Amino acid sequence: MQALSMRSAAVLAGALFVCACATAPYGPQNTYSGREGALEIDREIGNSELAAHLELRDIRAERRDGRLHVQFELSSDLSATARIEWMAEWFDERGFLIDVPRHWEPVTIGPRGHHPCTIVGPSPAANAWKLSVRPRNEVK
Amino acid sequence: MNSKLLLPLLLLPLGACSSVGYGDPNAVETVNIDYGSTDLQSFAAKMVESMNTAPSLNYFEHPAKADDKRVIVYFGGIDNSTSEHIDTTSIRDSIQTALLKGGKFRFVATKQGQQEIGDQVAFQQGSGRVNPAQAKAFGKQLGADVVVYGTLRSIEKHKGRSLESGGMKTDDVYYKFTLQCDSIETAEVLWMEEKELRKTAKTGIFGG
Repeated sequence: MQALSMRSAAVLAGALFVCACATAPYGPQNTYSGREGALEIDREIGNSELAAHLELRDIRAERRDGRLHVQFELSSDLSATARIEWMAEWFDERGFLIDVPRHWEPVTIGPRGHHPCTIVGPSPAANAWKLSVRPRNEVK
Repeated sequence: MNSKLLLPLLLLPLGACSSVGYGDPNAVETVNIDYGSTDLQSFAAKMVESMNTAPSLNYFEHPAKADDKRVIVYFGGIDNSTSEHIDTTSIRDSIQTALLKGGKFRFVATKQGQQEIGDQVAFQQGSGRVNPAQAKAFGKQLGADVVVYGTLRSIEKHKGRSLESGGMKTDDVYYKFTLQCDSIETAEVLWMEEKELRKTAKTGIFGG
């Protein structure tokens, strides 16, 4: 009996050991890319589960005062709250990244809810964009 | 004897791992409810986007300006009206960096920059070490058209553990960051923007 409890304790300790060392990996992300004047957007789905429940829709783009504005809506069909984050990157006409500060923006979308977003080109040279969306991956 | 081994065995995982590593500086951070890097980035991004798209800041006419009609900005201070110690110059730096890279605005040096410039001019003019033909003098600095400044405010609420809350403790903090741009000549407010953030932490009985 005592040997059994020792074995259970060892198994429990081992499991806790593994859990203690586990770190949440960066979740695979989905990227959506568009270009000024292009009707289609490119989708790169790295997280099919996220893509099945979270849609990027109603994408509109136009240039105002020399800068490209892109408006889109993140729409969730989940019955629970979706906790995601997104990040936008901008490129010039030749495809070079425009180096401006960027960050993951946390968004919480209610059950079967949607979240409207607008991104604006950081400089007049920005004419293509890439939006990455992934499950929330916080530094805790 | 075996039971004496049990406790250390169960405590072993607690000290199992400690590590140091480089992370993504752009990642969302929720280590605790206090003001953090994600808040700074969100505030800065909103203000940069708003200033970049404000029609009232597209140009600034002045008789002394040549063809370049871009608005010349003096970035003043950002008051910290929260109860936390927050280095608000970091918000200012992030906004100014992004705006400079965007190319819509021109900036003149802040107080820190003026101090450095003053020291350098004094050195060039007075040390006798600098070629007089190359020594810089005062009197040619750009005159700012506008001043940008702002305030960071917060409202904090705390609710202790109770039977009603199931032993949960709730901490809530609401931040409001306001930034505005005034014409130096006329004192007219040309642009203003605000961004709000709310952070809520719920801590269970065994939480910190």
